[in-house]
Amino acid sequence: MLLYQLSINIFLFFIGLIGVTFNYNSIITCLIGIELMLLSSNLNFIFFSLYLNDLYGLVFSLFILTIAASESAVGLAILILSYKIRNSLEITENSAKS
Amino acid sequence: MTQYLHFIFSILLVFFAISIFLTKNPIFSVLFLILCFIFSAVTLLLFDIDFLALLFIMVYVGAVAVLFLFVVMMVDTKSITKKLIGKGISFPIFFFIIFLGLFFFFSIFNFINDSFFNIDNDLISNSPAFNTSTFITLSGIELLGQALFNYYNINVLLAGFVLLIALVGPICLTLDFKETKNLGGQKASSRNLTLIRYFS
Repeated sequence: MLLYQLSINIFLFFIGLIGVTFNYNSIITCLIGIELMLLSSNLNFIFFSLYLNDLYGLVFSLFILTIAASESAVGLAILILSYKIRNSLEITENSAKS
Repeated sequence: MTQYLHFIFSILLVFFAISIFLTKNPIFSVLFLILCFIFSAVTLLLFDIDFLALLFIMVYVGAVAVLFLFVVMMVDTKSITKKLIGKGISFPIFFFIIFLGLFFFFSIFNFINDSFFNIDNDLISNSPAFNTSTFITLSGIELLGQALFNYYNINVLLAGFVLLIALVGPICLTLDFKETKNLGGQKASSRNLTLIRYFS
């Protein structure tokens, strides 16, 4: 049962990673993918702590929760700033020049 | 019963996680992200981790996903429909990424399968620094609170500092210092005047 859940978590991580690499043109999809990867690593910490009978993973998942919340806040602020400057949310090859 | 529920919920979790990246509309992808968070919290509830599951729903759905929804609805959606999916990726790079993902997946899967399921359970349950049997009289939230504020108090302070940076950083990013004198055509009251004087 634990191995099944762990493979689900790893699968979730690679869905996020592949989603980020394929949709690198839009910033908001990249942020959603990063959020999904953080969720899967958080679940991994919790289930390893369940299996090893150890409190460290449960405590550390709270800190990962903090990091995920602050990361999304700062990333969305940068997104709004780039939308204000360039009027679009796409990352193209020319976007670094303007 | 619990096993079947766990099976169904994790299959649904993976399905919603795939459909985040397959929808064209970003509002639907944010809604699928909310469904992913809810189903992972339900998966935690099945393993009797009730406090962390409720915290997941509160923080992820209540703060992060609502922030995403707010930003997606504020920015106009026509400019962010994904018309460029996979356009810059050529054909061999596509297979290379898929191959790399599968390789990492199976290597980690083999690592977990070898190193965590072939050893004795006694050896594991005696070794870790934090054994739950020392806190056996406490339960749930009380246990987490004892561990947090007795042994990890410096980490709690550092997490608070990270949250402070996340509070101050977006304000400093989105505030433009040049245009504070007009304030969007509002008539400047005395309160606004003091604000202008403070910022300029």
